[in-house]
Amino acid sequence: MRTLFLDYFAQSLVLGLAVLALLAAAPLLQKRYSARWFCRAWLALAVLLVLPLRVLLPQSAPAPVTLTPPPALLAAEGPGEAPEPQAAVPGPDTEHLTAPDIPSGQAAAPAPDQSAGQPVTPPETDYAAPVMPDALSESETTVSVSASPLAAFAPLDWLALLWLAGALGVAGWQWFAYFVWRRKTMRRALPADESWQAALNEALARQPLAKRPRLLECPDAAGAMAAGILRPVLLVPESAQPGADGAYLLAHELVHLRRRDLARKALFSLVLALHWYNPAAWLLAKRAGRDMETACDEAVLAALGTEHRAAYCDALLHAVGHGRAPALTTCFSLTKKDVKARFARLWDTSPKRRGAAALAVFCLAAALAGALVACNAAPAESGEPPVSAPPASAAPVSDLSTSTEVWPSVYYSHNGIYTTGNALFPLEMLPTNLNDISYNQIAGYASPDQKYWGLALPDADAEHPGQLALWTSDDGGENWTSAPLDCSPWLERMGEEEHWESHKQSVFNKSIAWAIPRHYQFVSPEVGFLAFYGMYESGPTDKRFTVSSDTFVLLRTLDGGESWQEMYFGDGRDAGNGTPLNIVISTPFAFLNENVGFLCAHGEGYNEKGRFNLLRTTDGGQTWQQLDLGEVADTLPGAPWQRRHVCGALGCSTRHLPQEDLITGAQPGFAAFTAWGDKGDTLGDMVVLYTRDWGESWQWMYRYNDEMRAQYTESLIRSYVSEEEVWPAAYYNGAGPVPLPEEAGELPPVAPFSYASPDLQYAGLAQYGLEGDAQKSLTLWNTTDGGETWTSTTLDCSDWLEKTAQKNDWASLEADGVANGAARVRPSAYQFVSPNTGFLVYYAEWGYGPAHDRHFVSSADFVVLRTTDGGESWQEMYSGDGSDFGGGTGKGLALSACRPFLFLNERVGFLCAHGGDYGTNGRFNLLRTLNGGQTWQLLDLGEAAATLPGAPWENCHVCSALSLGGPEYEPDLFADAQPGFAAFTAWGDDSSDRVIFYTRDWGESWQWMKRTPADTTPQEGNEP
Amino acid sequence: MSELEIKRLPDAELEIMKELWAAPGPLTRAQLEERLARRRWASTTLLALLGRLEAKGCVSREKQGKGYLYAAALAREDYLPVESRSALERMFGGSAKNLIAAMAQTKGLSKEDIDELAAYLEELKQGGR
Repeated sequence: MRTLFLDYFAQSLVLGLAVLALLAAAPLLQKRYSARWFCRAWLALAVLLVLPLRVLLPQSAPAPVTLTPPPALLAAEGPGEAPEPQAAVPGPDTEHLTAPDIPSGQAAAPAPDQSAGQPVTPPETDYAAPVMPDALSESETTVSVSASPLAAFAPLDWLALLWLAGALGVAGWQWFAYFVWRRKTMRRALPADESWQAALNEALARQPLAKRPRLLECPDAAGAMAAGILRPVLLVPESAQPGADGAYLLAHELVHLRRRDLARKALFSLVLALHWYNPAAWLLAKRAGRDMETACDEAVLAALGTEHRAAYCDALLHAVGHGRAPALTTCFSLTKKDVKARFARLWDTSPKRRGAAALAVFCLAAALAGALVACNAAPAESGEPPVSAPPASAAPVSDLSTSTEVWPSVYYSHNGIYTTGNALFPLEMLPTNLNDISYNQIAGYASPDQKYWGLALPDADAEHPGQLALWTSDDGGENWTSAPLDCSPWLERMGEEEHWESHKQSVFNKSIAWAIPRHYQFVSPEVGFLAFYGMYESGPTDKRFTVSSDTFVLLRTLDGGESWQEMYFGDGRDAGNGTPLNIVISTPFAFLNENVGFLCAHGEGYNEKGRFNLLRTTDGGQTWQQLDLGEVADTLPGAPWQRRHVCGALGCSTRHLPQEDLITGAQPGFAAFTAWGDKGDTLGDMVVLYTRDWGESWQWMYRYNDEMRAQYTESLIRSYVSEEEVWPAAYYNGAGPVPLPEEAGELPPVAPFSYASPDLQYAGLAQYGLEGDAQKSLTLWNTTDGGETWTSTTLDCSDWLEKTAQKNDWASLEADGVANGAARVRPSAYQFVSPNTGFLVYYAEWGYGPAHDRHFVSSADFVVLRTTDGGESWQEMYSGDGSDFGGGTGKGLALSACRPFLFLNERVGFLCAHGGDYGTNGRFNLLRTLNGGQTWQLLDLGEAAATLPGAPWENCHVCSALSLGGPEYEPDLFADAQPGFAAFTAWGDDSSDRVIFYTRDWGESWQWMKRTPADTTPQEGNEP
Repeated sequence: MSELEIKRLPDAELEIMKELWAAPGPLTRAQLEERLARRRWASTTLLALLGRLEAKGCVSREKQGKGYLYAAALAREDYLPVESRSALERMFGGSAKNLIAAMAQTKGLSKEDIDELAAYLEELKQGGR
């Protein structure tokens, strides 16, 4: 609002001057130009006065004039402060800068799991303990008291508020009055009598209008008038006969309607509302009203011919004589002089120019002046010369940096005070006891030279609700100052909005409202930020409980903490994409100077549309915009990442960076954040996103150096190894040379749902029924002696089958009158990885139609079962259609094709995802589970795939698992297979692009080789 | 019926009264319906409104053939002062004029002023010819 006010104020001044200049020149110009010319000039000025020019104009406009409100208007406290930063970057303004406009938090009580007592561990947790001077004197602690938060409402805000109130008042008065008048008049009016209607017909014949207006007669109308913008009506006095004047009066009003003068009048009323304090606006409206009438007179005479001039003027004189009856506003009524001037102009027969060029020049000049000033109306950066033009290239850096000398980076200490047992600074140096305070309720910072320290602690009790203790030291921790900050006004607002009182169970219990600091950071000795949320504690003494606010507050100081100004109050809905933000995770904020800061938006939906959840403010935290990191995102390892997550800000204490001095050696404008992608919060794709130009452009580096990542990967691989011994490779999807059980009867020609151990002693087969009730169950055959003896168990799947058939509404596939459809359970994989551990996957199939023309459809739904006792008992690991797979396409799979499953041990397994749009977007369709099939994650084969011939492939299709035996058996490949080995056939855009992808480390890294089934000689590959 | 007894009529009822006032004589229901076609009232609505107006004594009804003839029992001149009783309108009525286009909005021009203007116009007419 403040910005809007300043914009309009500047426009008001400059355009007001233009109005006055034109008014002064009017007597001269009148001789050259018609009233119509003036009307157009006034209209142009009115439009310029109403449009928020700064918002509409390109941001790189030169700035010859700069209006700088006196500093006293900008902030509550003393001179010498940095002025308001919010206008440092021209851009669309929002009118929601003031906190009370912010929508309240959720009406429901905050969820209990948001209780502040819950420890939240940040993923990046290396904060070094900086070296501190050894000798520390226990000096006295000086205490200063900070100013009341109300003082943060600057005089400029009050002025803006006054302006807004005035504008609403003037607009409201004018329109209310109009509607009252209109209602009154319309209630009294009757359709005008025949003679008037006839007069109107005559006038319309000369001044045709698209739609005949209603003609009413009204007892109050003194003369003819037109009213109504959308549905105009003409009013004539009651019981008066049109007579000779009637035709002229109506012609005049019709011209008003044709020229849309009523809409113009509405525009002028808007000008009056916006610029009510500016006399020039009132002069403009008054003069424009006159010129409109005169222009109307001119138009009537032009249409009728000059022979009617005398009669027209007589009519006008009669109208003037009658015009006294109702009370009219003085401002707009004609005086004798005005009427004389109007007569004079009607008799002024000197030729008038159209003056298009002059009008254009005038309008352009006014527009330019207005725009230039409006563009610079908002306060300029302190220290900048009042007249300056931004560099032609508009380098963004100069836009966002300010004259404040800021630390290039800081130590962030929130959540980090106790991290890994190391305090940011020795806590015994702090002359207060931190033992009673949960570590995640402390926020702090240190300057890079470790001279300035700050720590914000919750310090409330029943008598001092919402009090914070702000401890600071400016001499490396030798002397400490504590300033209590009373946050109770904000907590009261939070409490009201989030209904804290409803949690109170008894009036006898004392409740305490806590302000819990989440970010406390100075960017220089003078400029700092403080963010906190609220926590309400209540309940009986032995059973206290707390609720935490969704709302958080961001404060800023420009005077070293003497006074704090509210920059933001809300739950973040209005700051980002409309969902509330959680600031309790990690180090969400990072501020670079008094204007520029970042916020890692932890909330729903921020990672969608391929964007990182990183917001930036350029106005000290009042408004936030989600950044587009698209350019850097495309260069990330394994890009594009489906999920993009920025976690928290990194400070000077961050260790193990591939570039050790990335942060400590930075210049102002630098900020760094940890981020991760599809692999989740693991080291594999954890990177640092950093900027050196206040967030305009971004680069990345791995969060950890190669060595650490390699170590991590090794540890990861180690964690995949199972405790029991598994077969390094086996006959999957085929029992190999083991003789099948004769008792099973006739088996389908291909029996891929079978396996055999490499020594051919263990083997198994999942048999499905071909007709009748047998179709509803699977028979599992197993042998432990190379096929000498077989045992069988039957697995009844009828319930699941029925549910699946219903879910898919397969019955509807039946043709009319034919009802011989039947559901059948079909195995997709039956595989043991060791004598004890095995997997069974099945899906459903529906057959329908006559026997000679049977059709089949398969379900996307499938079930993964696991046994760890040699098939004695089976445990359901997954049941669903795969649409919930991590990194997947969100669509169901088609299991009927190929041999999609391959398990390596009781936890690790692979799935070639067929159907569901997999493999068509440049990403291979291979999924992995690390928990026995419960959850699946799409793998990133990008690194290996990038070396494929003709890479990148658009179609990236992993087809099925390879095993011992089988048509695509690769003896070489399997010769030295160890646990962790898996291989898959794959193809690309061309069916001749057949390759084999294989891994030796449980799927962490992949190699490929190109072979044709007929030719077992390796032709090409990327084997290291 | 004195002025004080008359209540301000609701918009819909006033609309009917205005048609009755504007008409040269009594109207049948069909004629009223035709004149109020822009309101798109159902026949029953019109009948209900007429019934209310009759109950208030504003409308009189006379049997004619199958139907009735309706006439205004309340004269417009008697009703108009009622409309002026609104304090709101008295307060705001005069402030609306910058949203209205009137050929001549004047205030406080005296007889002498008008005469002077007339003389000036005469002068122009002479000079112009």
